[in-house]
Amino acid sequence: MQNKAKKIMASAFIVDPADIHDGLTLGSIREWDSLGHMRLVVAIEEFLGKTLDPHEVVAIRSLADVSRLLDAGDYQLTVNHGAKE
Amino acid sequence: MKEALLQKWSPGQHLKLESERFFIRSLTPQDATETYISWWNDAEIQHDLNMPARKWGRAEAQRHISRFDNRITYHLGIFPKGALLPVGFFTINTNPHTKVAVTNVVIGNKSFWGEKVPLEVRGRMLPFIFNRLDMLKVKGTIHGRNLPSIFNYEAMGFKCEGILRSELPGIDGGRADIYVYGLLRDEWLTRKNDAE
Repeated sequence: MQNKAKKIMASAFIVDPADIHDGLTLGSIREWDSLGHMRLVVAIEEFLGKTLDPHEVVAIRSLADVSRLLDAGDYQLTVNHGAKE
Repeated sequence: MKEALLQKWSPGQHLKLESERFFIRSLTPQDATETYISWWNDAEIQHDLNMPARKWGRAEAQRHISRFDNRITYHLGIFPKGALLPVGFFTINTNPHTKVAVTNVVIGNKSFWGEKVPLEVRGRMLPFIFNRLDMLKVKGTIHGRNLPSIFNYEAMGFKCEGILRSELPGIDGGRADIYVYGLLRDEWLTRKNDAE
C-alpha cells in the first residue's frame, strides 16, 4: 500500500512520485504545505470512500502514517465487502 | 534595530514586530477600514472560524479593536512590508495567572492563502509570547474541520491535546468538533535549539 500512498501524496502535493521518499514527514518538502495537506486528506478520504475520524486526521504526519491509514481502510473495505456477500 | 525597539516596549503600549515579509503591529480604531471590516462580513473567511458572516459596520469593527489593551490582550495587524493595508490579523489572549496564551490568526486577504503567512507570523510571535510575555504555554483551538490550520499547528510542533467531539453547532448544520493544540515553552525551546 506504500506505492498507493506515494501516488496519492504526489498527486496532492503536485510533485513527481519519485519525490515522495520513504522518510517523508509533514512539512519536510516545500509542497507539503497547508493547502497540500488539505488536498491530501481529501484524496485519502476519496480513496477510502469515507470521512476520516478526527483522530485519524491529526495522525497524518508522514508517508508511513498515510500507508497505515490506507492499509487499515483497505482491510475495512474487504471486511465490509465480505459482509455484504 | 528591531530588537532594540522591542526592548523599549512595555505592556499597554502599541506593539510593533517585524518578520521576514511582514510588519506585525497593534491595530487601532483607525485601522477599521473597509478591508478589515470585509473580513468579518465574508462568509468564506468566517466559515473557517465556524461563524456566520457578521454584518459589521465601522462602529462594530472599531469597538472590537478597542477591546484589546496590548497588556493582556493583543490584536495585531499583519502588514506586508511596503503595504498600507493588512492581509490579516493575529490575536493573543494571555492569562498572567496560569501563564497560558491563546492565539488565533486570520488571513483575510485570500491572495495570501497558501503563502505560509500563519507559519511566519506565529514563528515571529512565539518568542515574544514566551520570552517577553513570560507565558509557559501557547494554545490554539480549531473550530470545525479546518485542515490548513491543523497543518499549520502540526508543522510548528504544537501537539494535538484533545478533540472535543461534536462540541458546538456547526456552521453547515450538524455539529462541529474542536481541535485543541498546545505548545509548551520547553518544547518550543528544544525545537528552537534543534533548529539552530
